[in-house]
Amino acid sequence: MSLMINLDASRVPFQRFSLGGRLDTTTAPELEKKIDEVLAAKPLAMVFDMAELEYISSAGLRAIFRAQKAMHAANGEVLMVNMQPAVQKVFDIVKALPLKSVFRSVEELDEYLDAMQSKVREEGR
Amino acid sequence: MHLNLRGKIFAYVALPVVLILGGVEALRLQQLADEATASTIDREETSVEREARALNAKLREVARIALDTANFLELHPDIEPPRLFDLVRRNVAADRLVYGAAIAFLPSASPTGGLFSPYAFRKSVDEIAVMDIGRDGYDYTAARWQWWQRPFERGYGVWTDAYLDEGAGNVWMVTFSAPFRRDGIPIGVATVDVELPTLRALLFNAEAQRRKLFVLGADLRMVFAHDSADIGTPLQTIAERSGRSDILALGRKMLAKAALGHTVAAGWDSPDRQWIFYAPVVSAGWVLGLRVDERRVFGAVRAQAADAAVGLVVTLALIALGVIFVTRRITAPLARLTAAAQRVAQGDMSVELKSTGDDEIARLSRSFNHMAQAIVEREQALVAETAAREKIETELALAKELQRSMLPPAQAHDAAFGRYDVAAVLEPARAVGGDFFDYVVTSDGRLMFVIADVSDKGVPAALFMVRAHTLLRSLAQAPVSPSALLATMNNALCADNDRCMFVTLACGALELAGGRLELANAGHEPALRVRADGRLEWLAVDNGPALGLIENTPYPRAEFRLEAGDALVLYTDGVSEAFDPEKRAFGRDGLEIAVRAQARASALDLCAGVIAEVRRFTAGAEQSDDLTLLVLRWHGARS
Repeated sequence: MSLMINLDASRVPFQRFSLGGRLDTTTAPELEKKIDEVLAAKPLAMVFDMAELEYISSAGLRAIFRAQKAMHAANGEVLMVNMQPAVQKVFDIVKALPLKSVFRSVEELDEYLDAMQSKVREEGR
Repeated sequence: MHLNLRGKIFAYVALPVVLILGGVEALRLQQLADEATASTIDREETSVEREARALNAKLREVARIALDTANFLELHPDIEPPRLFDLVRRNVAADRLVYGAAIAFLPSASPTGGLFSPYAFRKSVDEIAVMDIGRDGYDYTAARWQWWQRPFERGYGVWTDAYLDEGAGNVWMVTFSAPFRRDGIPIGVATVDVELPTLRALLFNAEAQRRKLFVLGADLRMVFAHDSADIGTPLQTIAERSGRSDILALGRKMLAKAALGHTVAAGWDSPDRQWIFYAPVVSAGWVLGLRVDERRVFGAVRAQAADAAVGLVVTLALIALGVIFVTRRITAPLARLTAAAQRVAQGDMSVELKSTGDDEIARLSRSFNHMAQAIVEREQALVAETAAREKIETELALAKELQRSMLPPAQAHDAAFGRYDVAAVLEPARAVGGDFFDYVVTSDGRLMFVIADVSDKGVPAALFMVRAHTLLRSLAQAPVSPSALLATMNNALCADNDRCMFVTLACGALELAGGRLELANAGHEPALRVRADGRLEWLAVDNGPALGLIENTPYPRAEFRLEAGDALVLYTDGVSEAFDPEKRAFGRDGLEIAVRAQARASALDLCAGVIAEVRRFTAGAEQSDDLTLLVLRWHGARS
């Protein structure tokens, strides 16, 4: 099975990926390419909705970490939601995600994003 | 039927043309010949009819003399007998054709009271003699004399058949005889004789001679014919003479029809077929015929038709030759194309077809040349590509060898004291990979061991593996704890790592003298302890993050105490995430089962057993990730 990538950029300044299928050596370059495109838009946060992601390999992890590193460098954040247990376990083992970047549900995530947005507005004033 | 292209063009183009043209021409020729035949027949019939009318007119003219005489006698019944002799003499003199003339009385009604018949005839060219036929007792009323009998029988003037007048100089003649009456009763006849040779001479000219003219009497006897010897000859005799019974039937047919006509028969006197054109001579009841050799009548028509037929055949042959020539010109390039294609198929790429003009063949030839050129280029590209790939494969094979040589032996044991066994298996998913293991006995008597997995696989992972492994080797020189080792390695690997390559790594240090085990884990799968009694225990270690991602991270250390005979199993996710064809993972459960089955085996056997179980599980599915298994067993401090 291949990887399905759906990008939702409707909520500026956030970029939201919905991933499905398998993120492994074969499919990771495809995601990396999309991530690079999205990075050019300098989003405030990059969200990965992994509800449909069944499998992630170390190559997939690397793609996420790379996105995270780039976002951090630009004072942005990588946020993840709806991780399936198998995927969650892989992340747990590697242990390289900040705890606050993983959300259990979309509601929690949206709350966080709302807060983030209002904070940006305040700073803008 | 299987035709080649040439055959098809010939069959579908030339053949119909030839057939249609030939058919039309043949039909036209046939019509021409038919028309010519019809007009020839018409001409010949007209000719024969004219002849017959002329003869008929002449006979009527002559007959008129006898009829007039009969009329005169009826009007002058009391005429004196000497005047009768004058009358017959005048009758002979009246027409050159008349050989003789007579007036014959019934003996009972004659002026003499007996046989009386004044008669005049041409004794020589300019002398007409007169006599009384009945004077010598010659009985002209005998049944054999048609000229006497017929008018009485019929009651009107009539011609006799041809007869040989033996009395008057053996001459063939015919006689017209007209009755005359007294008180309504026939009492005699007035006659005129026509000598047949004279009649023939009058009628015959060169043309009649050539056309074999004949006149057939109602008694089936030749009145005369082109052969003068045939005068008076019965048709039967002629038929017998030439052995042709059909001639007689033919004669009957002509007489019976009594109208203009023609017929075709085998020649009477010629090997060629003969056409007979005939017409009735009404007054005498004869048939006048012309016998003409077919060759003579239709020769010109036939020759013309034959010429036209030859012309037609020549024309068709020329068309056929032309078509053959054209089809050959069309198909010859195709044959060259076929030959060229075969040469290309055999690998001869130097083929170049000549192509002139812009017709389909020329375009096909050019396409063919392009194709051959493209094949050449593709083959060259393929050769180059293959060479490049072989080069890469060679390099990869060398790299694999090199990578393997960095690692310690796959199996080792404590030769001096027998305190431990180590066994390992490393199988990259590709030629080279990012997994590695290592072990070393340090100067302070510890067995330091490592198992690691670089993110991703293949060449990038291998390069990062080399970096990590080299780093490890240099750091492990000094007595260092696993957690300190990991912290140092992590910081080193975080530097210059834009691609975020990372290594998960588990490191342990076992004091061989006492069994104390110190573990540190950087995002790697936990180690499995196999107790001497077979129980399994996952060694819980507080993980630090994988190496290379987060700088300045501490790596917690965990301590355990092994008992003699305990074994440790460390692995990379190539084992736990070995997938079967249905994409199910081998998992930690699978590992536990496999290990439990070999719990008391040597490190080598345990290692081999687990790998065999993984192989059985994946059942030929493609290996998805580098796979490494490290097993070590501590036998206790046997000093």
